[in-house]
Amino acid sequence: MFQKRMYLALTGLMLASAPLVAGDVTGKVSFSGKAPTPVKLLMSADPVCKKAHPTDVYSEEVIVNKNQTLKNVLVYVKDGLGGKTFPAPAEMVVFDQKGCMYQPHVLGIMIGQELEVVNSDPTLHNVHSLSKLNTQFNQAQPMKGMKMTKKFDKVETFKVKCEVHSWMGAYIGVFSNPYYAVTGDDGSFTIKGLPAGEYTLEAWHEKYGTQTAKVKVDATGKVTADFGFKG
Amino acid sequence: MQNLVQIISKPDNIPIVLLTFSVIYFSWLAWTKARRNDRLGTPVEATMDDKVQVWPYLVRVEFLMSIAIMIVMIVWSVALNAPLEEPANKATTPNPSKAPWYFLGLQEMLVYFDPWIAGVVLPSLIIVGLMAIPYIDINEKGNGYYTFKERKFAISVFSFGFLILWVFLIFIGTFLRGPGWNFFWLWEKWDPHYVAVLTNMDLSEFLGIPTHLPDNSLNPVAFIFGAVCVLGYYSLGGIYWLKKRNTDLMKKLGFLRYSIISFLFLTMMGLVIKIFLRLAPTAIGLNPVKYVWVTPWFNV
Amino acid sequence: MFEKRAQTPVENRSYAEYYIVFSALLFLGTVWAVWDEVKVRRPWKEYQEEYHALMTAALDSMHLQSLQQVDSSRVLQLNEIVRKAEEGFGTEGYQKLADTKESLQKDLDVETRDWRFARSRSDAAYFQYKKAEEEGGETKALQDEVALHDADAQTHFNRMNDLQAKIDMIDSSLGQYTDAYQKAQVELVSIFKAANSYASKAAKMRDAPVEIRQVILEDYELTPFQEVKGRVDRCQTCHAGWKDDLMQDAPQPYTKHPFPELLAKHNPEKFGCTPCHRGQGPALTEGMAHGPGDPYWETPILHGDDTYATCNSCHFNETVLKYAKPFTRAKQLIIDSGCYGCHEIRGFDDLPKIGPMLNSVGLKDQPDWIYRWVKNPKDYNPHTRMPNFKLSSEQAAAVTAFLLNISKSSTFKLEHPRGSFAGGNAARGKKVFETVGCQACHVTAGFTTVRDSRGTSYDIAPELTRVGSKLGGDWIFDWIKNPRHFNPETRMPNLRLTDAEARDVVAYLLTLKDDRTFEKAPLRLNDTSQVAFGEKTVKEFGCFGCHNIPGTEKEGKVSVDLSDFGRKKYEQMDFGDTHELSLADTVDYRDNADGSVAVKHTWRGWVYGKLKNPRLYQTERIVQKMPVFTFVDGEIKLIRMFLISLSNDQPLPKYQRVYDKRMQDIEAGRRLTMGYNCIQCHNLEDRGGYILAKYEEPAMGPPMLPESQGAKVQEPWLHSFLEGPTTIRPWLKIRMPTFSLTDDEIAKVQRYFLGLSNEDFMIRDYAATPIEAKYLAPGKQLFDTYQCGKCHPSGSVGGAVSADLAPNLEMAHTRLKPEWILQWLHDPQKLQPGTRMPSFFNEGQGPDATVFGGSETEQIKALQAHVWTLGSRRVVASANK
Repeated sequence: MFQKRMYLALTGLMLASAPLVAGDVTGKVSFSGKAPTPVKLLMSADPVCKKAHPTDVYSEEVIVNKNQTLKNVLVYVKDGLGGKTFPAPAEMVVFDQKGCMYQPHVLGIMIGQELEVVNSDPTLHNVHSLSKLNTQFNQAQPMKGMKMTKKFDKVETFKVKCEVHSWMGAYIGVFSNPYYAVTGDDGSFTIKGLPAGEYTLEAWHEKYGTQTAKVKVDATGKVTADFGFKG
Repeated sequence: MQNLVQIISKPDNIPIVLLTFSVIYFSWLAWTKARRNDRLGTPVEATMDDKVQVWPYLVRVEFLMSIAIMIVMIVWSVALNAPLEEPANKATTPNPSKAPWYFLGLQEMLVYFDPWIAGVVLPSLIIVGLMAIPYIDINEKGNGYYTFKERKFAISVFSFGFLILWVFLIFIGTFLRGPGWNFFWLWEKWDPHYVAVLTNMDLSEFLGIPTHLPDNSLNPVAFIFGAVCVLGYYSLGGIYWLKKRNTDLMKKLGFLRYSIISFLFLTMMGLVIKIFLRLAPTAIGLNPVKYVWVTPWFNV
Repeated sequence: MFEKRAQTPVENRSYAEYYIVFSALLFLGTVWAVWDEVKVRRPWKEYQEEYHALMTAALDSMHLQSLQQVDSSRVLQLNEIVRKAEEGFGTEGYQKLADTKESLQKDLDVETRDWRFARSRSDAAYFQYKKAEEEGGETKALQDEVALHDADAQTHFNRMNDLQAKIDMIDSSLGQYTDAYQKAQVELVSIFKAANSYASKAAKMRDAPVEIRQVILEDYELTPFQEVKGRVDRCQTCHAGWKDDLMQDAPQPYTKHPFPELLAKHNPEKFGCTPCHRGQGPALTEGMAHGPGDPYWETPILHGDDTYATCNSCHFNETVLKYAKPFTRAKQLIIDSGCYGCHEIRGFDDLPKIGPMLNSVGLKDQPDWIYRWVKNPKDYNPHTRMPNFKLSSEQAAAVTAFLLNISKSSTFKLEHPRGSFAGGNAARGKKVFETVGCQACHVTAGFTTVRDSRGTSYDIAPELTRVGSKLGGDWIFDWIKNPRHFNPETRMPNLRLTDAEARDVVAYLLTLKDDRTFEKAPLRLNDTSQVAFGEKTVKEFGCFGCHNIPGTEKEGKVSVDLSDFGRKKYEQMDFGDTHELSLADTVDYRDNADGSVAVKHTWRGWVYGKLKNPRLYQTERIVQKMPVFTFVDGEIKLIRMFLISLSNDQPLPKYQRVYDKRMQDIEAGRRLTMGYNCIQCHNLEDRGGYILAKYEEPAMGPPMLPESQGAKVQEPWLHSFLEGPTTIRPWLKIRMPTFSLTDDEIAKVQRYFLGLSNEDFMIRDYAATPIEAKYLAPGKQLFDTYQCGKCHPSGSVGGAVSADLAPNLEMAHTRLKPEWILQWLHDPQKLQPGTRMPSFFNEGQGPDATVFGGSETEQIKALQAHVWTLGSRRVVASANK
């Protein structure tokens, strides 16, 4: 009997996807305290890398922007969407290996969305995902211009690294909804089209951990949420 | 109390609960009728000369009763499940291990005698004794009606043997014997870890005669003492014969019949005496008697 | 009324009312009995009907779903085609053709019959002719008759062919009417195939009979009395959905079994359910089948992890079961705790004693320390595996005297001159201690990672937090330089420390002091009566169950045989002074506020209490000797789960996994690797690798040993590696120790690895592995294009950079099996999850399409060929020939 009901409920759910009121969440991730001295990357192990950077290169672990904000902070909805499911967008997320650095350093992606991994260097790179929930992969791209695509099926934020170039590291956040953003050079982020409701947002930084904030999105739209990390 | 309810309501024990009440009821019935007849002088049954045909007047009532019994049996069998326990396992026997309820009287006897006497000799004597009744009972009175006055000896002995030694022992075995065949009062909980005092002594040991010699062989003195006790007990019948041999009753009975009766009677009473010897001494601070006579083959 | 009745003469009495009432009661009684029998006592019928209804509903909705997925426009098209064709069937032209065909068909049937008859006549005539010929009679007439019939048959046959030709012609003209129709029909059927199959399954389920579904094992177990016991198992009558994917989320009793991989090896259709789950197989009502409804049933259903207990009835020989993690953990717990030292337990008879030998203990430890240790080991080391025997001061002093007396005959002498340990640097020593691998087994204050990741209440090696107060520098130096020197049986391996490193480590360990103060122990070491009393105590408490002690070699196990313990009844157990806990309580054991303890008066309650505190049931009268362990709740439950399984009734061998040579090899290897604590560092068969918790990334710690390990390395290489480990992964700081294994032990490891990877032990000349010349040049090219050399050196290297390099490929041809290299290049993550080696190939294609057209198989072969030549000149030479 329960099964019958379940199927009825499922069909009902599919039919009842009524339009929802949505709003945008914007905010800034500020940084206070003393920024650590940037770590200079020594690329002498691979001449190709060395050549790609005529000037000094620094680690992207902590980048404090000029306006005292923090770059590469992943902001996402931690709680509040309930059991809603969202289709994965068709466009791919590009993940480039250029000048023996990952670009971008932090990225968000949805479950089922394709990640295109590109090698733009004429040297051997490999992408080793240190994921715990998603299946790990470790794929080499020995030639310039090689591409491959990957998909993820579990919500998780994990590191990827290159075994050839020990300094290369990046982070990928996999989400089940499209509401996430990464702070840029001005430390700000925008999460668009969030349905009306109350949410817990979380900001994640590879070194400084996580912070949460509660927001309430109503019919009017714009909401701000700011985070602050301490050095 | 909870324990008592549990024991009484066990499906196995239903027949015994019924038995307890039905035995009491029928004994009472027989006794009242016998008393009435004895008081009147002429039995009531003798005055009833109004007779009807078996068919259909008896058969129809019997048929009715058979239907009634069918109904009771059906209700019983539907309402109560067969009292099955765990599958038999040689490695672990249930505790207490009880015989079927109708043998519990015999099992109770095992407490007082060795298995040879309690399990073989006494049950055989019961059967033999019952079979012998028509041959040793020469009293012609009391046929076809309830009476006590005219069959005092027969009815007393039977009532004692059946009610006390059979039914009552079944009652004890069912309701008062718990784990380890230990004795529990009705209101006591059957504790599997109950520890009973074990201080039984052979009768000879009361007089300072050890049953076994230090090398564990039987002490001939104790053996002879036991034999004297037992044989002396049976010789009571002979003594009584010598005393009363000239009475009419004895003459009518004859020696053989008398010896059989006296043997069976003394054996039955011996059983009671042995139970008494086991139970009574503790009341006056003595140890219970284990055996009266220990022989290499059996113990009494 | 009755009085009046009694006065009526018997002849005049009427019993009619009685008859009516009694008959009515009898009738009702009979109806009740039937109802009770058919309905009340057979609740499984309703369950099964409900199951059929659920399945029907599920299949119906699958049917609907697949109908929705049907391309409806195509169906409309096809229906239109069919309709049009059917219109054509009404036309005159079609009718005419069809009628002609029908009459021709009739003629054909007649001709076919006549042909058959003519053939039959011919056969009969031929028989008569042959018979006459043999008997020498007249044959001519008969021969003519045969010929006549044959001719007749031929005529009919020809006519048949003519008719068939005509029919074929008509069929081809009919084609214009029917071809499209038939095609459309075929397509329609294929479009609706999936939907129809669901519909037919649903229909089948709708009409499925309600019946008892049972598995009968006529011979299942053997009792100790050599009786064969059978089993009837009817669980599937109600638990009907155990294998239906559709019942994945259904409620009980219809739910699908959660572990299909287990059922693949223990098919319930063959074994039934009770061999694993227990319960009363023949019973068909819930309470009876599961147990609580039948207090007499000895093996009620097992719940939760307790279900793993039954694995032991067949797998008693095995210590690792892939799909039964709790079972594996329970066995490890029992082995680690050395239960088998005092108790007889089946399946643990070939294990070594868990404690160190005590021949020379007096040359290692101070008498006062020994006294305190014997009295309460947990005082010095709260996580030691040695349990507390709760000895009195007199007993402890006597045991100390006895042990020291034994040591007097020890022949142990320091290998290095006294004082060699001096001069180390504690800070450097700490660093060495932390990097080379000591911490894989030994806990020190502030580093409990391995203990935490093991998740046990005890340590596998002594905690060293207070070791500086226990041992002297000379002894430690001697020990860490070569542990086998002091104790030839020890499991402590040699980490190949240099003298300087060893001195540093000693200096570090000597800083780890016990800062407590103790009273002087009441020892009388030279008193012979003390020594004798000590010996008596040692024998009484069975110290030799875990330790080798001279003079106790002939002693047997001191405690009870546990072989039938799981079936012991609670009446046979003594609960001492504990209080009785209500059977309705949620726990089996409870510490009361007043310090007393309450346990349930059940088997489970007793065992829980006993394992929680082995002296729990001790009273003034009843002395207990089992020492006190400090098991935590989870461990107690695991051990209890194992104890549940102990029964003398054993499933017949035919129901057990064949314990063949390979299994024996694997099991021997498991015990060896458990004994030497290999699994502290290496993840083996999904257990162990505890030290990895220390590393951020698994690849930075000791490598896991996958089940394919036996297929990976060459046997001679593994042999020499185990004898004397060499560097493979230069980035590892932790060292593979030298275990000084005997040849026999090394062979065990070899066979274990081979057994796990289903390889046979054979002697191979790896140097003679053939290399095809055509692969050599492409191999070199690919090796360069793919920049393998960027990580893998192939020759001698040095310098700081070398520390982050991958294994030197010069070793490959003497270390790796050639077939394994192919597998490895195909998918390194599969063979060694988490490895730093990336995979270069994707969907059968290599990155460089110019070599062998990008073919993965060919490119891998080429790379393998090239790798094989590295560091091996002979192969190149032979290939060039």
